[in-house]
Amino acid sequence: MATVALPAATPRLRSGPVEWLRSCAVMARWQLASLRLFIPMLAAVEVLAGVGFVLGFGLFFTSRVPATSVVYCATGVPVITLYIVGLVFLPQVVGMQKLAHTYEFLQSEPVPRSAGFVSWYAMNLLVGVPGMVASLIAGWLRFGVSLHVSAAVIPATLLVCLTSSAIGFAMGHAVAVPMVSNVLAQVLNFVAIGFSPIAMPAGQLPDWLASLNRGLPFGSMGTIMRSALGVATPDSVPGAYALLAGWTCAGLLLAAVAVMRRG
Amino acid sequence: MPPGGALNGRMPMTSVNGPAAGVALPKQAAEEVGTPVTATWTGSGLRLCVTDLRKTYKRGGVVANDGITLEVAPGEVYGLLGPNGAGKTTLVKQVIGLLKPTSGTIHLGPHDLVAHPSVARQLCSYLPQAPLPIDALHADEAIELTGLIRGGEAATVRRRTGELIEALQLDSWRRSLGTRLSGGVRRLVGFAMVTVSPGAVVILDEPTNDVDPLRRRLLWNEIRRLGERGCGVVLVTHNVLEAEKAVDRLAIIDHGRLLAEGTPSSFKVESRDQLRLHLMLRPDAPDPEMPGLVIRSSRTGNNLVAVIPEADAAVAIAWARNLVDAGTAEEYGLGATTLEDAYIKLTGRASLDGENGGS
Repeated sequence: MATVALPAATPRLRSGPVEWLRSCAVMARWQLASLRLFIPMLAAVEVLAGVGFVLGFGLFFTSRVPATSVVYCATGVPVITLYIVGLVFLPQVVGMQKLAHTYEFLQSEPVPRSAGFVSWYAMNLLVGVPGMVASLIAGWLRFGVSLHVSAAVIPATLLVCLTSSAIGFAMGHAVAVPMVSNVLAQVLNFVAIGFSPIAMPAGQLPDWLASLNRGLPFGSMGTIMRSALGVATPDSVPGAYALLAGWTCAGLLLAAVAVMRRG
Repeated sequence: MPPGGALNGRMPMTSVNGPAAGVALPKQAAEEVGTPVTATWTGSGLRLCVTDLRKTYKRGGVVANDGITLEVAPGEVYGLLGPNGAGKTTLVKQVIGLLKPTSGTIHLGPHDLVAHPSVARQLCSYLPQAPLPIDALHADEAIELTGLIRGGEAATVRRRTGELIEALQLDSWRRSLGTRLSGGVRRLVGFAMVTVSPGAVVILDEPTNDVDPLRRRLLWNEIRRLGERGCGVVLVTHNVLEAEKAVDRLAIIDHGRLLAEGTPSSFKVESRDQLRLHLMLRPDAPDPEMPGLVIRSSRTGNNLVAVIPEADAAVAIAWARNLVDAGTAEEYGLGATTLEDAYIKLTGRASLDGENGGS
């Protein structure tokens, strides 16, 4: 029997912040490469949807669009373009992975579960920000809205994406049946666009719906974005940040339980 | 299937008496660990120890693993054989940390893999039976990225990617997107992905599925090389004949239980004075009446395999020739018994390979 002495194949165990950052970076590369066929299309759809929403908004009105509505549209549509990837697209992709039986391979990869989330978050920003910028420009061109963009737009953008990614990540992983998570994502999107104070003042909603929205994240997303764009808002901005932080923590907690659960 | 049950909807022709002499029984597994293997690894490494592993699924209460104990040494290629639903995939999913055992322990060297699934993922590489998510990735990119995800250094991963592409003759598809790869090539790329930065244990679930015969040989070579560099390789397969040539030791699992364990040769000890008579029956021919000398037989499709005493070979040949002359069979062949015969004896079923007529 021939004997060949080769170096031991025992890999070293990796841990610590440097390894975590490395895992996040390589998972982001994997995510971007895996979705390279979708990302340009998705970014283009985001831009077109954002611009289209702004331009189409004016068609709801036969005469001059009320000033308040103009401001809410110009500052609300960018929020919608930011949350769609995390809240709607992310759970759909996770659902597709489950249906295609590729989910288990990805779950068996030797990276911290949090690195998977960070890679999604990076993609959410990459795809969402161009749509946000395009919709802001469309609002300015179409309605002549003069916005004063402050540095707070950066934390506002980061937090809107983070909250939506956390909720979407939790839905994708925690809901066992992909069809259910897909429907849930669509329902949330429908509620956010049509029945939340993102692109309309809360005062236009029935009282019960306005009260309900005070606990949901959508109105707060609009509040922090409007504040960052120099628009006066009747709601507490710190309170909105706190609410979104709470939703983010809840989403991440649920996601952590889901991805670490072993059947 | 219980002994004596129907075989592919046909009348039962298989008798199952119990494990062959010379084959280690589960209770003897601990003694079997010291069995010399043909692996060439001489260095240190981590030994995989699975002890009394039980897994009952909460949904449905199905007992998928029922007290399995086995060990895989560094450098050893260990086969897990068994029919569909035997519990093989459940077993390896517990090793990799995707499922939690109901009871029992899994250790890799000093590491408790049940308590620390993240350690299991770092120390074990896993090629699942399902396709890998590489539709939008180029073949070499998928391999390199997985190597980096597995913690490999960039230069080492790049070099090893090149070696694997060359060894598996994948150069024509190096820059092809996953969507343009055939099933077999995707499978080979998947193998390269999980072995470019291999763990201490590499788990391969049906690695040769869809792979053409030429590249299967290349794949087996690479699996052997994994053993040579000190990896413990757990090979989950239906393909008994291929496993016979590739593994150092193997276990046959059915109904969640480890039926027998040993080297491929040890499974054939009892049948050393026996031969296998293979008859290709005419389509729709009825099961021929077996002469008394036949020890056991099984039919899969038109393939009939009968195990006979070596001393009665002449009588058996005459019987087979009569069947050909009578038009019941088209041809026959006589050869040494194989691991497939031991597998049939233990499980009461032919392996997939047998079903494909490869007996």
